[in-house]
Amino acid sequence: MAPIVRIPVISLYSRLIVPIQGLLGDGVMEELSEQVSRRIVSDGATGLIIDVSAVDVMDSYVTRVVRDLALTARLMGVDTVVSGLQANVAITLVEMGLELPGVATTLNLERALEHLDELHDERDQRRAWSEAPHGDS
Amino acid sequence: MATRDGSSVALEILARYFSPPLAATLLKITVRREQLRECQIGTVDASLLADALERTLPSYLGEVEKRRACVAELRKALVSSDTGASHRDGGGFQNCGEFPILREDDLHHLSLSLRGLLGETGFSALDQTKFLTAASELVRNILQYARTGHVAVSRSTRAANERAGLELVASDNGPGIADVSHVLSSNYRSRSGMGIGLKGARRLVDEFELDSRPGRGTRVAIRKYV
Repeated sequence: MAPIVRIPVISLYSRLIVPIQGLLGDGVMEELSEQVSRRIVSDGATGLIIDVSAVDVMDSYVTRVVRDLALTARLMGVDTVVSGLQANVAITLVEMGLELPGVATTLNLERALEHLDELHDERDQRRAWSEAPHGDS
Repeated sequence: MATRDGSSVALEILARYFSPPLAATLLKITVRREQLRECQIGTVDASLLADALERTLPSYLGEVEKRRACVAELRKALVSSDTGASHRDGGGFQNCGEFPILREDDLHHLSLSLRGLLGETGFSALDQTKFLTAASELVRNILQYARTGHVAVSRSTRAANERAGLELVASDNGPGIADVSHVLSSNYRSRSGMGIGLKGARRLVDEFELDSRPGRGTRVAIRKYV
């Protein structure tokens, strides 16, 4: 009997973390896309991290779902990072001719959080700069 | 040329003496009691299976004559299927698993079994990932286009073939592919997936055979060697 795979969507500060695990079926993946986009709105998330460190087989279907999830989030104005791609998985993807165009990737979850922090810091600085009074004596 | 593994041969014979469910159960408990792996039955352990069944049978089949006939038949069939398997195609691939593909869960089941076999055969972690990914592409194709199908896994051992390797044949009776070369060409994109399924799988293995005609289903064989 195959286990029923449920993927948690974790809210951390204003980020959503989605740790993808194991082999996923079509049903689970579709449900996940819906669930994540709903949560982005309801939690007012500013960043999304899709952690794939527990995925040891990433076929074209799983790759597409991850990419679509990232692109959907981006359209909703949420920065997205895919983290923790295993070395063997990355090599296999490249060999197949698959990649994740337009999606930021990091080595691990920690770097993903840092990456989002940096993006948001830059944005805060720009905002602070544009809101601050300039050029007066 | 199709080779059947020892367990299906044994099952067929047992079914002549018992009801089909009982025959299946009998085989299963024997295999478990002897701690045989089902994939070994086609090959070295065929006579072991015959011995084991001979020991199991008395508690289920009281009549001595019938029992003797059953055992003789089993022994004959298993030993001949054993030699048949090792001479098949000269390639030395021996069946070690049949997987019906009916639902998505079957992909999980197949992957778990494959993982064990890949490790036992001696594949590196990277090659295991490649083979599993290729297998996953083929199974997803079955589920998507044909709904149901069948996967057979065979293994060649170094002794029989010089090169240890694993073969996986995915077949279905789905709509088939009209233009095989187009599907495998670099500018083909399928409706879903990333247009990479079959040609991606081909890049991950050492040998790839695709046989398909519209309305006749599809058969894909992949092979990878250690």
